[in-house]
Order: sequence, then C-alpha cells, then structure tokens
Amino acid sequence: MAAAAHEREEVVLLSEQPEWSDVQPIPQCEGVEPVVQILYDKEYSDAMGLLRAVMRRGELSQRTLHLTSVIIFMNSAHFTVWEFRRCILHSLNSKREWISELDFMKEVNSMNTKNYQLWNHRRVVVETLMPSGGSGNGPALKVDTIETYTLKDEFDHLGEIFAEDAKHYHAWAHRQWLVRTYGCWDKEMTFTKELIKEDVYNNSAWNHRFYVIMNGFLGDHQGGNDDVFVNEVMYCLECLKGSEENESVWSFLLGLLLRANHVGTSQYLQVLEILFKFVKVTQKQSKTRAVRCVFFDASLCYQLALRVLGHVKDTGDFWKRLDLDAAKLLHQAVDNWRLLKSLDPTREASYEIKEGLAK
Amino acid sequence: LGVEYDGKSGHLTAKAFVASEGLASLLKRAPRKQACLDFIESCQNPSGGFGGGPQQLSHIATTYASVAALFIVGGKDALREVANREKTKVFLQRLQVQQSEYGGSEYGGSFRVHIGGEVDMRACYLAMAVCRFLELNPAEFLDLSSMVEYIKRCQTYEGGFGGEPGNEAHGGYSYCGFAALALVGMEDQVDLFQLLDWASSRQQTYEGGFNGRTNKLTDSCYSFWQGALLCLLERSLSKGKEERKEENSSDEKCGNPFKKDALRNWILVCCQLVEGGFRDKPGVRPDYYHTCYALSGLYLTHNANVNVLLCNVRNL
Repeated sequence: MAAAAHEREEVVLLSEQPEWSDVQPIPQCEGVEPVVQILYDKEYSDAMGLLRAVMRRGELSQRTLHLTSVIIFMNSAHFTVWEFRRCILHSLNSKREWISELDFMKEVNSMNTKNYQLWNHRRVVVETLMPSGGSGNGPALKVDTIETYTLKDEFDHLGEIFAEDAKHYHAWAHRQWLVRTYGCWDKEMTFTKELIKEDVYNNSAWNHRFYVIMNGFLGDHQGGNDDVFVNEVMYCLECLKGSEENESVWSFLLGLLLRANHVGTSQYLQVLEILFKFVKVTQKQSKTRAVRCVFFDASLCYQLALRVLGHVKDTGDFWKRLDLDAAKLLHQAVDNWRLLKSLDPTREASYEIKEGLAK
Repeated sequence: LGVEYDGKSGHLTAKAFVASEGLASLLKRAPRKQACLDFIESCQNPSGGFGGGPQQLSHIATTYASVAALFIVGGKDALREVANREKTKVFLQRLQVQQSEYGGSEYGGSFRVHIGGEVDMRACYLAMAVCRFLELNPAEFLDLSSMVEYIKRCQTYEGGFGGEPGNEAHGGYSYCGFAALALVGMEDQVDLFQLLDWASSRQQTYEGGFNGRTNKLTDSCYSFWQGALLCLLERSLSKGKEERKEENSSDEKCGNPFKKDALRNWILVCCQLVEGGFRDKPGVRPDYYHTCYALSGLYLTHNANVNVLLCNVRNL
C-alpha cells in the first residue's frame, strides 16, 4: 500500500503549520556567491528559518523548545541550537522538562553517541537535577513532577554505553566528572577490575583505575598506603601473565612506581627487585615481549636516576633514602636503549634522543 | 557537497578550513578568493569570534578555522582586513575559566569552546593559535600561568595528555596541549621524557601509522596529531629555551622525530583512494577531516617547516 516513510512525497514544513503562523522565517544569508554551500533538506531550512526568527525575538517557550528538538534530531552538532535550548529550559525552570531531557538525550545518543554537544548538555542536566552544592545560586526548580533522578540511574546509563563501547572517550570523561563531583569513588575499583577482566588491553579502564587510586589511595588525599601499592603491583603482574607485551599494564606499573614516594622504603626496594627479575625473565620469551619490558626497564632506570639526583621537584627525600646508584641506573638505561635500537627500529629516532638526554 | 552533509551546518567554517587547507597543501592557491573571504567575514559576530556559519554563536574551533582559512586564502592582508582583533581578544577572555568560578579548581585556566560550552584541551590550543594568527600576545590579556597549570594537570601517568585532568592520554588532546605550550614557549613545564615515551610508542610497527591511544587502532588522522606532536617535542628536546625563542628563521625544518617512510607508506598505500581523498583506514569511507589530516601528516614526512606548526604568520 503506502510507500516507506522516507519515500513520502509530502514534506512537512513547520512554518506552514497553524501554530507557527505568527512567525516570519528568516532565510540563511550566504552571500552573492556561496562557498562550501550545503544542500539542506527542505524541512531543515524551514525549521532553521523559524529558529532564526524566534532567536532574534528571544522567544523562550514550549514551542521553541520543541523546535530545537526538531533541529537537533536533524543536526545534532548544532551547538548554537543546544545553547538556545538550555536558555529555554532555564527560563521554563521546570523539573519535569529537565527530566524529559534524559529521554531526549537518549534519542540523540542513539543517532550519534560521539557528540560533544550531547555530553556537555548531559552534564548540565545531571547538575540541574542533582545539584552538587558548588553550582551557585540559581532559582530552585519548579517541582512539577514526582519523578526523580539518581546517581545510580546515571551510572546505569553509563554502563549501557560501556557495554557497547568499553573505550568510549566521552563516557569515561563523564564518569570521571561524576565520580569527582559527587564524591562517589567506592565502586570504581571493582568496576575497572571487571572491565579489565573482560579485556586486559582496555587502556581506558586502566587509566580510570589509576585516576581512582591517585584520588583516593596513593595520592595526597589519604597519605601513604603500602598495601594498596603492593596489591596493585601484584595485580599488574597477574594481568601480564599470558600478555606480557601489554603496554597498558607496563605504563600503569611505571606510573605507580614513580608516584609511590609515600610507601615504606623496604617495600619499594623489594618491589623493584621483583620487577627487574621479571623483566629479565620476560625478555627471553619473545621479541615483542622483550621490546615492551626492556622499554619499561630503561624508562624506570632513567626516571629513578633523575629522582635520586634530585632533578624532579616536589618529590621529597624518599628517592635519596632508597640509596640507589644513579650512575648505574643511567648506564642500564642507555644499554637498554642501544639494545632497543635493533629490537625496535620503528622508535630508533626516540632511542637516539633518549641516549642524548642520559648524557 | 550533497545532502549527506546536512548534519554539519554548524561547521561550515570548519569545512572551509579543512577543505581549503587540504587544497592549499596541494595547490598553491585556493579558488574563488574573494567569495571565501566574504563568507568568512559573514561568520564573524559583533561580540567577537566566528561561528560555524552566519548568525551562529561564536565557537573557538570555528574561530580558529576562520582565521586559518583567512590566512590560507588571503594571507596576512585578509587577516588584517577581516578579523576584528580587539573583539577577538574580548571573546577569548570571556571563554577563559577563572579559578573563582564553579568548577574552577578542575577547569581553572582552561577555556570553554563557546559560551555555555564544554571545557577541554582543544580550547587551549585553539585560543593560542588564534592569538598567533592575529599576532596578539596572550600574556597581555589572558591568564597564561593558570592555563599552563591546567595543561600540566592533564598529563597522565602514560605521558600523553587527556582532554580534561584525569582523562586518558589521547593523540588529539596531546597535540593540543603540547602545541599550546609550544606557542607560548612553556614546553618545559611538563614532563618531556614521559611524553616522548608515550608519543613515540604510538607509531605502530606493523602499519607504520599512528594510533591515538594505547592498544587502539591506527587511524590516518593521527599522522598529523601524533606526528606533529613528535616534531614539536623533538624540537623542544634538542633546542634550549633561548634558542627556541629566536623567531628569525623562516626555514626551521622538522628533524628526525619518527619513522617517516613508514608513515608515508601507511598514508599513501593504505589510506589514499584512487578516486581521491583519504580515509581513516582501509574499509572506511573517506571524508574531509581525514583528508585534511592525512595530507598534513604527509607533509610532515617531507622536510616540514616547523613555522607552520607554530602558526608563525610572520615567517610564512
């Protein structure tokens, strides 16, 4: 019977609808000789014509809110329209409308999940529905609905996104924002552990884990903690089993080691010994693994030497107390880089630079 | 440009930049010069900055695209005639996040991409680059020391930079962060060795091209983001601070920052299409963005002039 929806011949133009009869659309001015001209759909040009008119007169109403929805569905990166939408929402000041944003954003997300405007908008919506205390003194929302939104709902939403793409950059950034804004760190270690179990190469998960540790455990917030440091190192070694070429884990390890100046000296030295031994063993397994662990060994030696020599500011006297031989460390680093020049020619230029730095 | 570009009218100026930059790297001049300049002028707002098209909110990316396109199409004259320097200064000031603002402790020093917009590393680079194009001295009207602190907070344990403090090290944001520092001569404020560790590891042995993050796939656009980062980094490591300040040389070449022929092969053999344009990787459709950045990455493999990366309009 009927043709498919997208083949319909009748185009619905908003400007021709009775509810818009009082608005004269303003066309886009592109000059006498347009360059980079876009051949817009009729519906889009029409909606934009209305938008230009209502923006000029500053109309902040239900119908202009609807108009921004129509346009955003056709062009979700139109930042001017998202900003206008927020002006309307602030003006309407209705909790019900802000809650409706959640469904709206879900719809937009299904069309394109990697969209800066969407994720920026999401932060504003979440902040509005769950004020974190720092957001200043805006008027209280009109409570015209019994619906509420919770942090759990928000984490569930993120969970859905990660299930489709466990490395979704915007989603991870959003998660970090959530966790630090609302101080809800408690589930994060378990969460990252689960993701790493699913994919030990998921660098986003490792990065987030590091972020959580630094803001809760090893960092200044809770002072030194030997247990966490050792546990994390053992966890890394566990994760390396079977995938000893995994760059994510080696970087994580190095990161831990260079920020552990709150732990006990003997603990640290024991860990160093274990790791250097581990490198020697791993080096023999395969070329790819050798490249990775020798790279780690060289960077570690060089960075330790810098700290022992006092070249890195604000790290206290922890490094001097380790009583390591800086010259020996530098020598080991240089030997490793020389070896790497033949094992890993792709990075030959950088090994050359590093050798220069060590001198 | 057919109907499939419907979704991008917020980025007309970005397209103008990307297309003309791509073209300009191939030809010596862009077509229909005056029409281009008039169009870009129509995107400038009385309050300062440029939108994606006429009557759009000013956005820092479209402002960058506009001034860059002005320079590519019409040189310094076009910049002088079209861009309103004073208004642009005001625009940039409005976008910088003050320490005293909400979120100031996280975002303080960085910039919003537009009023009410997101705050991240892109904005720092774009703001500094705009200053260079317009020959503005950011130290005179912006808070550079807090911008530098923000950038430092974005360097991760891997050595690269994320979009916001704590975020995963990423090629695009790393280029933006480091280039922003290079444009104001403050590269030494971050850990250059760790950055070298991370950035050099982004070139893939098998493909020859770069990936954007650890354990992710190679993509032709990173030919520029990572390649250019390494060019700037190599320069910072090999030259002393005083040496770098000398802006006399119009001919400063990129040295030996990465495996150039491996990158060249990746771009030309795997990413170039017979019918024209470049793609992210085999199996993906080409687009303007990847064409622009693959070409820019290719340029880096041919004795590139560092002044281009530093937006030194005086020396170009």
